[in-house]
Amino acid sequence: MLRHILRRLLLAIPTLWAVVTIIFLVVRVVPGDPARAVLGDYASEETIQAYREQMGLNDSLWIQYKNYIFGLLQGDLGNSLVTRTPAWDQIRTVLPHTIELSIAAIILALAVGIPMGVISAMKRNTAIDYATRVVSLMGLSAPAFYIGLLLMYIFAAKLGWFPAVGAGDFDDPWNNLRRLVLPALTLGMVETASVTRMTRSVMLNVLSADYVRTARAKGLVESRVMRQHALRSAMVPIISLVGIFTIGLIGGSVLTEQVFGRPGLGSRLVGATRQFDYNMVQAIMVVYAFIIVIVNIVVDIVYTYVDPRVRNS
Amino acid sequence: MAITRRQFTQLIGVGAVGAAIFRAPSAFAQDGSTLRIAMNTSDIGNIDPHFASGSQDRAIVDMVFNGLVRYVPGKSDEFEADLAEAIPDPVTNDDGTQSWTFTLKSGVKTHATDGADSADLTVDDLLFSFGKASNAETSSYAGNYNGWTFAAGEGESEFVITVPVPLSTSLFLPNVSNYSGGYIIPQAGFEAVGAEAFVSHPIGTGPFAFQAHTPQLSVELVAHADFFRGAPQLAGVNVMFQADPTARELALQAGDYDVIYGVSESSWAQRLDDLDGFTADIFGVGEVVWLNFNTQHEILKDVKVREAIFKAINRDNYVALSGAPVGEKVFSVVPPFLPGGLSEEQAEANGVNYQQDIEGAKALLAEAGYPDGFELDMISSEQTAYRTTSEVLQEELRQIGITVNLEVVQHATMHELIRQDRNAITIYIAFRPTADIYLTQFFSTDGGVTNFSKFTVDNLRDAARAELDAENQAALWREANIEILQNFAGYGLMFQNQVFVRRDAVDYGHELNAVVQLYPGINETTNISED
Repeated sequence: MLRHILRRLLLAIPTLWAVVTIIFLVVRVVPGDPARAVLGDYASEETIQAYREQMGLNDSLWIQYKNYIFGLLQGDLGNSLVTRTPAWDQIRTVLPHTIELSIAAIILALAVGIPMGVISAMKRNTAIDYATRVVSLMGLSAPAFYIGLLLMYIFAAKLGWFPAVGAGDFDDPWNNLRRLVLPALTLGMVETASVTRMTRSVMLNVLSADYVRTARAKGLVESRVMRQHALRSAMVPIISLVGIFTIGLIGGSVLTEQVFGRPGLGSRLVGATRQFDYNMVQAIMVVYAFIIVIVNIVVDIVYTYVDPRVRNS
Repeated sequence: MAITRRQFTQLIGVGAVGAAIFRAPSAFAQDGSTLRIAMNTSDIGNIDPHFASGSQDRAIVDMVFNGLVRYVPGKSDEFEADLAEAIPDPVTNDDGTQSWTFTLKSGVKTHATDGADSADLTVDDLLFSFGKASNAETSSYAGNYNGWTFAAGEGESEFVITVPVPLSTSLFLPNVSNYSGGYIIPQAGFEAVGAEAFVSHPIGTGPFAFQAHTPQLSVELVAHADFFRGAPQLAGVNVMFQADPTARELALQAGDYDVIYGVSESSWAQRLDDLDGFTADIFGVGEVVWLNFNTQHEILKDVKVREAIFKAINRDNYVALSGAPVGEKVFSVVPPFLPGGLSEEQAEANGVNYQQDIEGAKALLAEAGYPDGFELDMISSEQTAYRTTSEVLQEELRQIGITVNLEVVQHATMHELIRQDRNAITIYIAFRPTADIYLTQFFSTDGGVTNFSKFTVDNLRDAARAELDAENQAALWREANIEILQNFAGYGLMFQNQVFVRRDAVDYGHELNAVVQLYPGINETTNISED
């Protein structure tokens, strides 16, 4: 297993290099000047040029690339062109909020989505099944920002049960949890819908499999058939889905973060792109690519644990 | 390596609490007397006062720094002494230069930071700060100080500014006030933080001191107990970032914010004002929306074409985007609330109050050789004010046969592209504190790449600069504006006032008429009456 992990990490190096290089070039192709974005429309051309010189933006593309790669090899993600502070310092500040929100959304999606999917499959073509499918379709169709604003209106502005915006302090778990509830519900509802539909679909296949029929034929109680035979098999594709969700949530929870005024990796990336903060965009993409590699490795490990065929091979 | 079920469960557990291992900074102060103001942005840009240009940046800077003089709180047309004992009378020197000798107030304390304790502000700090403000490498506003020299005076607290030609107070004072380059940066604080970090960690002398910046969330300011005008009534100010207007509104109602940046629409402001416990404030200064016509463009160089476009425009259509009183018409590039701007009557009297005349416009185009109109490419910013203005113009020009191919790009990209002359008609939205700056930046040879019209009024601008009598100076600026309109080089459409909504409990401590920093003006007198 250790060899497998090391091999995956080594294989990730060329992937990371390719990502870094592509991002480096792409952000510079978009028309716009980071100096103008940072200094504003009042700045004179002289000031703009001085800034470009200070930040190395007048260097040739090759020199900028070389400096960037050398820095990266030494663990230096560079300084933000806007705040001029190390990019990693900002990422380190926002990343915990993103991880926290993503984990909360995934837990909610699994805790609600799997039982709903199982029940829906077991009660196929009944009122419960139709209701579950309609609700999950609504969850998939409604944009996150709309759900977010709706929840904010009901539970913050009208009922006053939760704060509307902001991220909590990790030193104050209760306050942190209160500020997490609405964004996690928003993000979790969308993911719950996906998990429900996926679980239902997989369970329908599994429930018609020979070994499930055999388990029932030999007299096992239904709950045991479900738990030990059907659901365990169904977990394999669901684990793949969770891996994809995790990657998607870390970078893709931008709308939820923005509606609830939460810091996060996704919204930081959007902000950096709008400000032409090349260094910040590059740094976030490196971290993002690294997270994808780690999540994939974790998914591989979980596969090994859940699926004996993978373990034995 | 085999992994047991127990180990696997432990691994998952470790992963789940992983986020809690990271330490994140405090996000919200819970103190009831800390004012929470939500700005329409996702983060700060640059809060070094000599670079700050975004509304959120200017607001923070204004609370952290002081100038030698300041705009009277809540007003944009009146100055009073701030760090200086008094506003001095200028002296004209034998060599034709003019000197202003300020006496620095005693006991002005700087904010403390790591490596620099709080100390008395000195004349050396003034020398350092103006040296920085007048250097293009360390200031965006260096152009305002061309030819100015700074020196310590004869007295211990005296500071002398010498300008190359005598200036009127209306041209001199804005540059030494609490605006842009006039903010005073204490040298020790600047050097302790370092030039690089200072852009997001300012050290000043103002009523509130910088405490922390949490990216995308807030900038926390705390009361400066030794502030020279007296300790602030608030414990601090949290400037928070929330770009979504609906979320800002809901969070205000939920009690998460005390003040929010509003939406530039009168109907929106009225709706919020009607809510129990909230007040919507609409105040100046207005940001002017105007059109610059490239007089050297292959088609627009024909004055008849430009006149035709003038005749296609109806200011009411633009004001309707915001609705009165948030939006108001302007009749020249320089707005009527500044000396040198034209009122409707003045524009009418001088024959430059052009009215929409579609048939007349078509006839002029035909005369110019474009009976079937023509096509124009136009770059617009994604920002609502730019985009909607562009769309209205596009529709108006369509009525006279001109097809505008609109390309909407990021705001910074637009600023980059319009400086490369990509637009025949450039929409610009900005506030500048004097007519001189409007004319210099946009209608003079000194404007460089921002002289979008390629039309200049240098002579009138220079004559106004040399004029010390306020009335005569304003008359010269008005003349410059009339010339711009007569030559169809620039067309003022409207100005957009500021809209902020506050809980009724918030008292800014001053009447709110106009604030040049484009926010309500929060200082040591601001308070929250109950919590």
